[in-house]
Amino acid sequence: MNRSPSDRHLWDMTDLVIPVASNGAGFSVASAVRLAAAGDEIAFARIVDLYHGDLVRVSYVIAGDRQLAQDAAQSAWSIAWRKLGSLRDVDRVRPWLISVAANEARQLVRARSRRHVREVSMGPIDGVDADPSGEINRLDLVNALNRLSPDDRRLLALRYVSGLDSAEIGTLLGKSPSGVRGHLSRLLQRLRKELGDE
Amino acid sequence: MSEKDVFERRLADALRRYAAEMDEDVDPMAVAHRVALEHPRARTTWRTRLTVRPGLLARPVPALVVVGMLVALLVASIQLVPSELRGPAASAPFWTGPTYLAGTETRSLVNAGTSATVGEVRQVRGRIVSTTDATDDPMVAGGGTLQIDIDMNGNVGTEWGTYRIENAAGAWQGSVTGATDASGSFEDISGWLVGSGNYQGFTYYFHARGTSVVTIDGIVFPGSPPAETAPAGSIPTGSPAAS
Repeated sequence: MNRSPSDRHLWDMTDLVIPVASNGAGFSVASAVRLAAAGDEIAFARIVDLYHGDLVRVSYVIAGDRQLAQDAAQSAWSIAWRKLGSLRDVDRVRPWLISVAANEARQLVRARSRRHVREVSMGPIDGVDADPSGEINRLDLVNALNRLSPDDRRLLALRYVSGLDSAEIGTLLGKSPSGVRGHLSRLLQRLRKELGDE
Repeated sequence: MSEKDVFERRLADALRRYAAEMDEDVDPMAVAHRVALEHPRARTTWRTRLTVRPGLLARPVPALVVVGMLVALLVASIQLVPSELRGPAASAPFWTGPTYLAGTETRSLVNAGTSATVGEVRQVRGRIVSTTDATDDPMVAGGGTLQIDIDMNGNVGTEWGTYRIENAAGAWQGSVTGATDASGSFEDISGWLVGSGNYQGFTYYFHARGTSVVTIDGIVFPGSPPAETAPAGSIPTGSPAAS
């Protein structure tokens, strides 16, 4: 007969409870990480709430498929639960989680492409392809992404969707910051041509 | 990469718009509960502590001596716990998160202790009670020994003492305090017990109430009991009486 805390408190402690969705004052991500690493489900849920969006967005850019992106994020949370205790710097939990999800997405894409020809989700076509302001056309972007390797898409996602800098990406991928910058520069050059910017 | 050219900015905007198509809705508690169920978090246990390191195998004689000593210690520790006090098997308790538990306790008097009257207070010292706790959390189920002192002042007595619960996976031990009435029809006791063995690093806070049928509520969590309590009679800061 396990009961939730809210069933039982003599006094209303709700003002002392850190809201699950909070990232405001009083919320310490580091303390949540430490508690979650010790097996605290509620603390882990707070981390999920904070970073799930980051994980699915990065995974979507890499996988190009909503279901694969969701699967990658769910796998990442399983890995995070198991390995959170091995995270040396709890303040770096966001890039670490993002890289775990990115790797899962990359592996899921590779596994799928081994099984069958890739079917790329074109997503909603409800007028988002219109390009009145010189923005990069969505369909052009999707096609360009499809021609890139999962590794290249991961690099783009980490840099431009998650906003990580070259040093952070280098740490996550085991490369030097200058190596990351060089790789990114070559990617940009290639995309510039494919997206008709030259 | 701090300076982005026009194309890089356009690409970044397009990628972010594309990524934002992704549905981010999630039930964080459901995700946390699922992964916790799929991968029960076992803290360092006696089994993992007994794991023989590969380097040890390179030195067969010391390794055999060490393993023999560990086995002897394990056998001895198991025999120290009477079979009737052993709780669930060691494989049962896996802590998957802080959950509130409930159960019942049966008690039998082992030693009534000594009794003396000092002024208007009847002092009972060294009373020993044997307990058997059945709870919905196997970590804290098992046999226990409660040693309690009581000061009866009129019909109401204050109680304090120590309590130890044991089962096959470990033990809980700590201090208890409570109140009782002279007839014994009312008894209310609570305590902070610190885990050992498989439960090292955890604390069990419990509250037991009743006499013939004792009900238990409690919670197990990683960490320690509160370091200190306010002295009796302290006035909370901010209360009208404090100003």
